[in-house]
Amino acid sequence: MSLEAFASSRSLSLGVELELQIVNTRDYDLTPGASDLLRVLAGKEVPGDIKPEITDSMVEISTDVCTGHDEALTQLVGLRDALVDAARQLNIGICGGGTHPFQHWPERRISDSPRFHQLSELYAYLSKQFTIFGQHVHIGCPGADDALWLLHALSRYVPHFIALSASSPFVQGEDTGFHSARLNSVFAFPLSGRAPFVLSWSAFETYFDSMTRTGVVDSMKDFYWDIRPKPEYGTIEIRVMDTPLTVAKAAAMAAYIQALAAWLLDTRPFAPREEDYLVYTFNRFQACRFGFDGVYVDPESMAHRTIGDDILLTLTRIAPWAERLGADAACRELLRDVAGRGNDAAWSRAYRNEDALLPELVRQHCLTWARSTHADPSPV
Amino acid sequence: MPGFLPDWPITLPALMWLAMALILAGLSGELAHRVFRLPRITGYILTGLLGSVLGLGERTALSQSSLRPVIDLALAFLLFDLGTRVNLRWLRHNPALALNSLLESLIGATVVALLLMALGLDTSAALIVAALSMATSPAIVVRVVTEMRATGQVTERLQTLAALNSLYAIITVKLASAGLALIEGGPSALAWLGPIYLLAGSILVALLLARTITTLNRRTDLREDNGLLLLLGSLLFALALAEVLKLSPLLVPLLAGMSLSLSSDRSRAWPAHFGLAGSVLAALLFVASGLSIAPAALLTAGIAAVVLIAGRLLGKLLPTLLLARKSGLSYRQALALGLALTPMSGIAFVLAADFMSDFPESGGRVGEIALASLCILEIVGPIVLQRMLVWTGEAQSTAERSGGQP
Repeated sequence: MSLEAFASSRSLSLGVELELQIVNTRDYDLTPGASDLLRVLAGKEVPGDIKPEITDSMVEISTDVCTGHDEALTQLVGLRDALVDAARQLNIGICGGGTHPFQHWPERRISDSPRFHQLSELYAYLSKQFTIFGQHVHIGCPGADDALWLLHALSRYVPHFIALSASSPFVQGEDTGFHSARLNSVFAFPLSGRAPFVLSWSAFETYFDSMTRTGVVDSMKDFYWDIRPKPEYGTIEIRVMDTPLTVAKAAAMAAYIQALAAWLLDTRPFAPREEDYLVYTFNRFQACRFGFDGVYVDPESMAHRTIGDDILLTLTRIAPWAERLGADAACRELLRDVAGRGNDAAWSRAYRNEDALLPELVRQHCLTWARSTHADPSPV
Repeated sequence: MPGFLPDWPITLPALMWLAMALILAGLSGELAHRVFRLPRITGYILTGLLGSVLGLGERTALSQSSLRPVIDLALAFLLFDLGTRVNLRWLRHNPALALNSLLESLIGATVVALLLMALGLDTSAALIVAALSMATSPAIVVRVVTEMRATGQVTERLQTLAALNSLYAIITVKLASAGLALIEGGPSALAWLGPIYLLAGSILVALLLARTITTLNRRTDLREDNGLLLLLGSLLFALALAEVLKLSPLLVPLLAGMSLSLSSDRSRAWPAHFGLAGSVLAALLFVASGLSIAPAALLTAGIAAVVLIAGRLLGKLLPTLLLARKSGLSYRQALALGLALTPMSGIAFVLAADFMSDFPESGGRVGEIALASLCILEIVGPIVLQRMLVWTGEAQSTAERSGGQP
């Protein structure tokens, strides 16, 4: 299969996808419920889309193409409310979070579709053990070459996205010490990591063709990169985020990325280089492990500062663009996270210190997901 | 003969019979599981049935009376467990499910009563058998679901419907017995007070038990090994209290479990050692219920039993299928749920026994039909249940679980 042409899309339009956990309401372990939810919701008017995912304990919601933060949030709230309603009828819980804190992987069952069965056969235990939940944000690009430029420019900010959205401190019943342990699972997949450094679409096509000739991949779907182009939508897709605990945080993440992209495309403040990637995995690890306190190595000046400080710096720089796009309120909320409120992972960890039972933590995640308000992206 | 040698002929002590029963049950459970891919409890029940055929039930320490405290505790543990799995708030959010619960019991019982009367059974006996037949075995449901680690809509609804129909059955049988006493024993206003005392008293003790467990849970860590002692002790105490006060040993644990789950939204994950204790107790319960199977009853009441089973199945399937879409199930799931409600046991037997002691004349026939139905359903029920959970994908079959590579 050859690579499809890069579709045209409205520059800086955005779309949000969230993978959500489906749990039972007794011990709050994962439970298969995606097909039940879809059946109950069939024929109901919802904004965007609700889709099954690789395991039946996961459901994905996605917005339509949105112009900005407010529209995305409104759609996410609509989707959330529809889902919560249906879940109540089925006596199941829905929540965010990048990992389920204590799920036991042999229990997971794979969704009934040929593609999912094929993936499960290929990746064996990876596909079950790493039942992980992420947020993907699509940003519309004016053209294919711009898309690749933006992809590599945004790579510098991947640690920001990780630290801000991190919500997976617990895996298989243990505190991992990480803010985002989910990404450790993503790294295990052979085609994960960064995209190859090419800045023109024709060069990218050449790369894709040689990869297909190796027989290793046959579509863009086989690349699990942190940021990847999505030619059929005419977007780039940022995939490093954990699913946050609230829709408000998910919308705020999208708003931050949109404002950042607007600033980058407008001012072209630096030229992306292959050398930027020298510190890429180091920075990414720091963000996963330490959140805002992680060390950020500036790929240009080689200066060391905390990821939190680098986010604050960036927020100041992009403020005018955020304001123009209506993303300023959301960015201010993220600023409060960095300035002391902490990310979702920190909140979960703090809650666990009060109440040691992990099922109780998942219950809190469900309550938070169901009743979080529009404005405040932090758990209530 | 010197006194230090064993007496002759050797009489086997109770402990020996118990040991043999446990070993045989363990082996046949494993055989059922590995070779025949059946639920382990089918192995336990068949072990008991073997004992029953050999006539061990009456002659040995395995008789109902000597195992009684263990069986009562086992049943109470399972009823309590089932109670905690029921989320009554769900019925408010899904009225179709509440309706399903009422109708599957009501239609099932009506069909059974009408069919049995058509077969010539007198009205009062037919009504009692119909009431008994409402209950889906809590013991079989809890054990098969736990053993298969089943999870999903059919599993959740099965547990809810089983808890509720057991509740309906217990209450209806007690009310019907009082009604019968009133008719047969002449005008005695006191007969009505019986079921009211039983219900009110059982609810009170159940609430007390739930309260005790909540308090214990708050003050101590029930997840420690020590917690099992406290939980089983409280449960036994409540059962003993129920016996002293002549209350229902079935209602008390079931209602206590339900009240516990209703009183708090908190997650309820029983620690693994509760499951371990539960499974040993349950194994004994199933051996004992196998022992109480009397295949001879099939000769006298076989036809009535088959009619009862068919009518009961129809009554449970029909409303479940009709309300499927409304309550959020696919037809496949609804069919599986209707069939999974098949198992009938423990409770029906206890209720039949109570009834037989209250009404020796009409009770005889009721007991025969109940025993004959149990003969069939004790064997068939768990297997149907297991197959349905696999069919809907809510549990994996033994082959998949043990890593059957292609």
